[in-house]
Amino acid sequence: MSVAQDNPESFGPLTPAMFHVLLALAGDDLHGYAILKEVELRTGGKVRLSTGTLYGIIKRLLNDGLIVELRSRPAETDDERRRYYRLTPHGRQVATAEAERMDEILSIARSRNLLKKTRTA
Amino acid sequence: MAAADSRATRIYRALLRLLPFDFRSDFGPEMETVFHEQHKEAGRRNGNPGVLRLWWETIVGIFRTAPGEHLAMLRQDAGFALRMMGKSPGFTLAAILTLGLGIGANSAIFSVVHAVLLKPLPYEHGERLVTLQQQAPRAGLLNQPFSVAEIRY
Repeated sequence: MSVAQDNPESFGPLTPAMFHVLLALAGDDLHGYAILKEVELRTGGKVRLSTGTLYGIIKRLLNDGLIVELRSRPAETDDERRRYYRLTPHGRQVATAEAERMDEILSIARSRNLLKKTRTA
Repeated sequence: MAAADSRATRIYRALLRLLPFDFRSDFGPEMETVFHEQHKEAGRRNGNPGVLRLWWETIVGIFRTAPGEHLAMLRQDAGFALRMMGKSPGFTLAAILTLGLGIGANSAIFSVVHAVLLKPLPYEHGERLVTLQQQAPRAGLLNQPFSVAEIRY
């Protein structure tokens, strides 16, 4: 990994699909099909990743060290062809940097009255 | 239903051949498993329209992913080749000279073959061209050409 790639902000802006995959893996270690389902569920069906898109993203995230493939399987009874992926600490930093970048943009949108102010509890 | 599943898997496997070999080796079996599950669920939840939608998304996804993956693979291979060439400049020079000479010799031979054998004559009905020769065996003359004056008169 190069020095530039060590900086989480050097990855941004991520593609929406890539960010959704990182968000899905931020919750739990998941296999490919579970990632697709999680993204679809979290976006209310608005984002549906195809297998080609998903595994293109997984390959890039693995190469960049943002996720790793788990050697052990969470459930022994699980289909052995399934491979589980986990967000690395560096991947989490990249996802956080992307979320902060988007939050800044949303703040500007709110200040221009394009979005409602966030309600505090 | 099982037959339809198996047919879908076969078609999907054929579709995967659009992706580079390395990519297929790494992710192909897992992609098949995921597609199989998606296919089952699409049929169960939405019937044929769901399955058709899944096929459309899958085909578009593969066609969008394949060019980028081929390009990435090409970039990786080219980078590797350049690094290897940089490490052994003597071998690189010999290879480039050999290729240069080989290509040059081939081009020269082809130029001659093309001009002499392949290229048509520079006038119409070149295939009707004949050679006229005369024989006079008693005089000991064989295969003698005609002069222009002999042909005219």
